[in-house]
Amino acid sequence: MSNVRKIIAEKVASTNLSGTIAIPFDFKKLRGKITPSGTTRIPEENIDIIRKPDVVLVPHNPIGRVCSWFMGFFVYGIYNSQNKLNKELTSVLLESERLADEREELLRRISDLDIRLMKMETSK
Amino acid sequence: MRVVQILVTLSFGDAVSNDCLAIHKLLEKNGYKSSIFAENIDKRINASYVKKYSSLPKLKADDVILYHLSTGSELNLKVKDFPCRKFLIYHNITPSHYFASYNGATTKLCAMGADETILLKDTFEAGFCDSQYNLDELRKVGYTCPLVVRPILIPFEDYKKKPSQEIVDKFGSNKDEVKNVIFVGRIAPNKCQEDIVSTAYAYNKLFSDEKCKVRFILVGSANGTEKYLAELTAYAKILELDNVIFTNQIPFDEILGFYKTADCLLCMSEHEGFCVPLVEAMCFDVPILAYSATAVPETMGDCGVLLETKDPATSAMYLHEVLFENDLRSQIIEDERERLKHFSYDVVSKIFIDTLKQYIEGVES
Repeated sequence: MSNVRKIIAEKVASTNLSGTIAIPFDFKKLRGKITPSGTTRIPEENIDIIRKPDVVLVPHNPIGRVCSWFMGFFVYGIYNSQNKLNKELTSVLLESERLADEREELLRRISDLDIRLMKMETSK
Repeated sequence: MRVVQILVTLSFGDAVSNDCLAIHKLLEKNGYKSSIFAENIDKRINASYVKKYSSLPKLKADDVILYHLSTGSELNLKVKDFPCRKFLIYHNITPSHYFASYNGATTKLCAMGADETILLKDTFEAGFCDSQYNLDELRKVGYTCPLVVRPILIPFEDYKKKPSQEIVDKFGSNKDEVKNVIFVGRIAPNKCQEDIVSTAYAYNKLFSDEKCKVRFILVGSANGTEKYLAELTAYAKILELDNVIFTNQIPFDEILGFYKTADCLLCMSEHEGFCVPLVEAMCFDVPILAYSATAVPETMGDCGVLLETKDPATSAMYLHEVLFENDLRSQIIEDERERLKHFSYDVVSKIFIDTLKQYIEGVES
């Protein structure tokens, strides 16, 4: 047999590119909990994921639109069934980041709503 | 003496079923009276020697059962009570945790299968394992009977059938502009198709300037793993990949078309008891890049290229080498042709028949 493996391994090692590409989404961590992308309703059973304390909602843009890294998606906002942004709950969502003890109440409330997720560019 | 193969499901085209059917032909060729009984039989299989398990005749003490174990089933434990000689053909059982997020029934079956494998440890006189990996697994759970490694019987004749011309034309016509990286296998969490998507992302980032593009084609049915497929599709969309294709279930001639037009088979699977697609790729002269896990390195032998990491940048770099370094590609194909001899029908059928004779007749060939 040839030494192809050795040749390729040495060549790849010489590039020093290992670990340089970060995937902006942890599939393995979120497996089984990912909703389809685009404009999507979160299935009721998936609401449970955000009940977990290790799910961190990080606000990217504190003014104007709310953009949070949320289950691997950017949360564009929380909408009601009439497609209107629910400013109250959206703000609570941010607030809940700081007030973890309010999260449970928030989640109870948003679980009854149509939550729209939209993928968008990272806001800085 | 009759030789009766028993299995839970005889499907159309999967590795275990193909193995079972090939063994039947082999047994008949060697003068054994052979039949197959299964709880579930694919409607497309219409052969007089295949019957429902419920119609299994009364077995005699000198009859021989070859029991294919690959999943959990109540049938597994019934084997213990058969009043005849019993031999195991072990194909491995996927660890249940892989399916926990996706399919409760499959999770339960895999967990049951693992438990039942242990409960059956003193049931068989001897057995066959698709790989040393499978054999070691049985030893770990307490099997002390004679066990022999016998690679799965692969119907190579089927690969000579005409591939879908539509697929060949669509995916094979512009090789200077687009290379095809394929994986063939069920859409299943243990096969980690997400790592192929991650590799595609890294590849696009690292080699966006290349004139020749690469597309990633994941060939395989998502029957029972629809949720996993939905997640993979979402994952590819989130990563904005327009060069990842999921075929879902397709006819056999289209699978042949994808092999025929493939430039690399990329396997990132974490759990395989053998991995037939690796041998299929060897058969089609498709260079293989595979993550080194469970039985994969054993099936590969010294051919192809193994990945020791799932770092996306590394797998993308390896892939680029395999796709575009022509001298290396030629050498890989040459090595694969050599390795393929190990799995030829003649070699594997001889191991099987010689061992079976030894098991049931005490005859050394």
